[in-house]
Amino acid sequence: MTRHLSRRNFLRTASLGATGAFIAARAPQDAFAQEVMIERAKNPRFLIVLSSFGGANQVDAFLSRRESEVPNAKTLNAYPDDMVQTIGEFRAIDMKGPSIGAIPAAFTANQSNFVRKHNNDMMVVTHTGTSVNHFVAQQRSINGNAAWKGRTLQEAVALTYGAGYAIPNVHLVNGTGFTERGTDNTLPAYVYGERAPTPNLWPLSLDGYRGIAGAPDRKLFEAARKFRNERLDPSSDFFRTFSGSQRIKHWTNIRGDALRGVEAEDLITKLMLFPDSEEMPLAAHGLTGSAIGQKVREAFPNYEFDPLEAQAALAFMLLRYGVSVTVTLGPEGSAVFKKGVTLGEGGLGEGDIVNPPISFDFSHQANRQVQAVMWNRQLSIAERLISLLKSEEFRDGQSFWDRSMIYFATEFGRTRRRPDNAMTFGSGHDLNNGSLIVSPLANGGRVLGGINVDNMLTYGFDPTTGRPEPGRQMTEPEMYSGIAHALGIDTAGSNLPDMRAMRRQA
Amino acid sequence: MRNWKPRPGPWLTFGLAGIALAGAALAPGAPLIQTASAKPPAPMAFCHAYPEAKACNTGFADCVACHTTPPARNAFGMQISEKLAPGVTRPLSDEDFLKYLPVALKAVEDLDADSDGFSNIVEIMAGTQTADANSVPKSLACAADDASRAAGAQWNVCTFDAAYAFKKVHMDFCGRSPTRADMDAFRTITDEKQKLARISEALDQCLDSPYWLGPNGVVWNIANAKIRPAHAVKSGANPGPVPLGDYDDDYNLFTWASSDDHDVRDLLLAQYFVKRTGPVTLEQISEEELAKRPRGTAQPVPKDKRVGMISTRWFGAVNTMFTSIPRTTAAQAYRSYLGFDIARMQGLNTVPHEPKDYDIKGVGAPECAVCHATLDPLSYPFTRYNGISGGYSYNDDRLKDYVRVDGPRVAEAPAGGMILGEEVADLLEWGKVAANSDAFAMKVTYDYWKLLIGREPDVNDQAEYTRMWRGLKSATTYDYRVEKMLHDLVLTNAYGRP
Amino acid sequence: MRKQIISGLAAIAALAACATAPEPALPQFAADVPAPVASVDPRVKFKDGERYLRDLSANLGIPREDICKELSRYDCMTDAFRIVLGGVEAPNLLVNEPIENAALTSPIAVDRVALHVCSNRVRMDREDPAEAVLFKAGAFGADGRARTPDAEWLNATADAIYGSILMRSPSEREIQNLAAYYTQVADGRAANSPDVAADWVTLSCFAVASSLEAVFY
Repeated sequence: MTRHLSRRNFLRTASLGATGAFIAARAPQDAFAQEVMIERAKNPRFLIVLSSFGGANQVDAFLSRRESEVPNAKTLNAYPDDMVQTIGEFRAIDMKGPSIGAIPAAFTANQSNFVRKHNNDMMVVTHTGTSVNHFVAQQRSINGNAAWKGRTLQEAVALTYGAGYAIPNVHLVNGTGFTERGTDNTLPAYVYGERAPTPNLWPLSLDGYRGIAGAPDRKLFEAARKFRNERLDPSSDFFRTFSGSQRIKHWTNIRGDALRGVEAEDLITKLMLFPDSEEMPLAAHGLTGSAIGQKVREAFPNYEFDPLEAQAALAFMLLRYGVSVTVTLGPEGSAVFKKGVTLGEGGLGEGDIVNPPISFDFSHQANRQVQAVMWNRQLSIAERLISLLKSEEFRDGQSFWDRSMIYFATEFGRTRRRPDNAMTFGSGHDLNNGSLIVSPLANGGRVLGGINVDNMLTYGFDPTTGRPEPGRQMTEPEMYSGIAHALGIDTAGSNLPDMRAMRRQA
Repeated sequence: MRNWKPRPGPWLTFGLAGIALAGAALAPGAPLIQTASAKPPAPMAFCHAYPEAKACNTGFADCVACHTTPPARNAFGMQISEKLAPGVTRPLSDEDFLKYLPVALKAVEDLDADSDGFSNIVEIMAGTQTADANSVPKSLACAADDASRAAGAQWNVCTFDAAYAFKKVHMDFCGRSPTRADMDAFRTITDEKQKLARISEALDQCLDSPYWLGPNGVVWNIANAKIRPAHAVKSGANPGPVPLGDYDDDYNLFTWASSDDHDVRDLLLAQYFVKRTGPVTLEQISEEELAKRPRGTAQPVPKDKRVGMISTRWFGAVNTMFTSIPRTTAAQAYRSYLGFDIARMQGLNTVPHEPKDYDIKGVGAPECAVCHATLDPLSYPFTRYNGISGGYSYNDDRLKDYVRVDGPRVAEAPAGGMILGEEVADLLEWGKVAANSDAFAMKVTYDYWKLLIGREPDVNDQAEYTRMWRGLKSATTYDYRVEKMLHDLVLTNAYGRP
Repeated sequence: MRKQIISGLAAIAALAACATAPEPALPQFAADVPAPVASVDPRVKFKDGERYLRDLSANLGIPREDICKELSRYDCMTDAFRIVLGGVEAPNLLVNEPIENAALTSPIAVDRVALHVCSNRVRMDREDPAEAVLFKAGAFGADGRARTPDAEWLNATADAIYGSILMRSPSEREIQNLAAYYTQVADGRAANSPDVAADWVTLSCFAVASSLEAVFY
């Protein structure tokens, strides 16, 4: 195929509306690249990284074991028999407790409902990581320990499918390595993650004009930008002196076509999760909430005070409105309480603590309780996201969910030892673990790998058949590869292994 | 962080090389390995040979000086390899490697690995890549006619521009531009010395501004990554829902040590705490006042056991937490105050016969020991300082409380350890060795350099950056006074040449 | 130079009498000042939102707490755009350092802030001409009738804009640019309309306030 643009190319991209405009801007001179981008944009896969900060341990969830199955059960993290349910190839732990370690907060946690409902789309893969440092391990969970030139899974998805999207890769969670930029600096700028730190006000940053009282007409405002970009700045002594600066080059690049493309999509409306209210006086400023806002708020009713629910709501909207092909969300380090609740005398009521401090990592203090509370939280978020994605048609009877993957990225597992028969005990970081992936694109209903009941460590599997292989440990690059290939990403030339067992069987 | 631009693959391949030591196969498609052994001491050894090299501003060279993805070597690395201990059986022990490396380096100095016309030694000293022909030393000097044109322009890009520096000092230290009247007045000064004096005057004023010294000010925010506040678990003023410790103590101590005529080594030596008495005023808290604090904000470590920022209640709460051998705590201290990030294999100084793995975490496995042979002995001095469990106190017998969870050997972990190749008897000595090290001075300087210059020190900044951190260490220059160093930093070309 | 300004103003004057007029091309200026020497090692830094707003507050005479509010209640920097405008928020968002690379939304956020500030200032100037900072009477005669802005008014306004935002006088080229820009802002409206003049001041303020020199240092 010719690389030179023809009139046909222009007409083709023009006929695709915003998608075509983004592609034309991102591959302005290369007809072949444009065609590839167009085809991929028409058949995207969506990656949702539901990061699980602090070590989401499989042995406390879908790979749990009964005491009767484990020879040294009293000193290993095996559960009382009646607590462990078997659902297909998976296990599930449902738990109630009066406290979460030292936090006097009662809780009820459930895993079995999710497993029963989504069994066919669940896949648990075992692996062993290479760092017990939170930040480093978080990064490795999404870059496969530099498996493919240092690019993250999110960047790989954005590169493959995102050329026609306004903001292909959005980071909603703050302060973790799950959103750390990869080390492949050769990627086009639009591929790297865009931060959205505050879901309620972030949509305002998607339009430079709307909602500003007393401003001149929009047409004049756009002309002012043009005047600044094309006359005032280029002729200024400042620019002529400092134009070699990378920061200035980057700035002038992103305030051009990329900015116009974003504004043209009316994202300030589409992504406005919050309704008009005294706290968010949209109407008084000529703004409105999103057309799907009510539906999303009903699915995530705690969006006002629970950062994770707000993130999840915005994540769905970004996918639904064709803004992004990958989103990263997750609990952060802060404790989250039900609205109006604080720690005081007399303890907390059932469910008052929505997220313990440091999330899964509070397992240092009370492993089982924290794992139960946090898995419950993550599965609840995932369940609602899946429901929303299933409810929206992508095209030709296919739902958004049919093309999506939720990857529960986490740093590492937790140590398996416990004091004799203890129910409440602290755990450390353990490189050995596994990951939960939920997707119609994955080898659903399967546990790939197994557990050695002598020490409760996981072991790996044959990458092609999925047959368990005791003695083998799966690596970070293998996990990266399996996820990337399940998402249909072409990794030719990367030397990444073919993890056929991780893809949905034909 | 310095030299932290991660390159694809090096850390993975270090890990793989570690596995190779145990005889495991490498992943399919991995680069050809000439000898399968990781050499973490190599970066430091390189800098022992070339302490003045730009790469060694940080105390250790980057792996890519000699490697593509370690242990695969680039052209420069191959040249060294050919001269390294000829005839000695591979893989070399660490001792042999360190013994023969300086000779091998010397032997290739006059070669040109990347054939770019600059010899290896020229490139090493200039800080450009010896194995990359696109990386060549360049001059920042202006041509004669450019220099005269620049002298008449708004920004004199060929030399230190005092007006430019004057404006920057206001922006960086006062948080605002100088007024137009101030700028106009400055431009009327013709005498260069007077200009510099005026800059210094402005700096003095701004160093006392709330923007610089106040809560959430510039100095405060430099400490963010070291203190890692989390409001959810803050005690004291404006507490969070689960109050564990008050990080205001840490920020105040950091600000105190980094300002006025105070010795910045107190970051690791102070046995006092500091309170804020006004927007920019701080004073030391008396022990009597400290003793009266309520439980939620008490600092239980006794005075004679305090070690500046690394023994505070907050530091123990968020790093040690419930751990017997607090490796995260040691790693955070090492990274924050010496600039070595062990997670990225920086600052590795393998201690023989380590790690002992007293708490049975499996850190003795070859792929783990690469780092833990440094990290574990670095951590032992922290083992007498409690985190959340144990109430943030000091306890010589602390580890006995962890036997039930971590096994009987955990109580054998010593109070002494190793840092930067030196044995230390306890955390106090750890702090002294660290505070007096080159790495500490480099890290302090680096933090301000990156903030004020706008990037890490690079090839062309070497001389000025080195002068700054060496001056910080010198009793006759800045004598560990940050503000004195800043007075000279704003007069460097890195700062003041547009 | 004087001839060029006069010819530009002549165009403006012609527009005053017309309901609509074709958009004139921007005049081409001879190179009257040697081009500056480009820096071989430019190390400009982003002026984060807080310093940006403090400067504007000090120089435009609007209190910092009032200068920019999204939805009339959320401070543009501390509440709305803190991270993308180069701020940090460690205790809650765990953002310990400013973002290394500008976000896609960073220039949009700067544009919003600049437009907020400039629209506010001009509105305040019109409400209280005695305290005006940017949009000052002068284009309009003592008898209250609007007349076409003259060179003196355009120069003084350009100087006020550059002086307030960049704390320096504009160069001749910069004055010419702004003067010529007036015809674009008029956009077929009568050039002697106070609304046109106000729009020109607002948008010139916006263009300078969101320029590279205002945002980097």
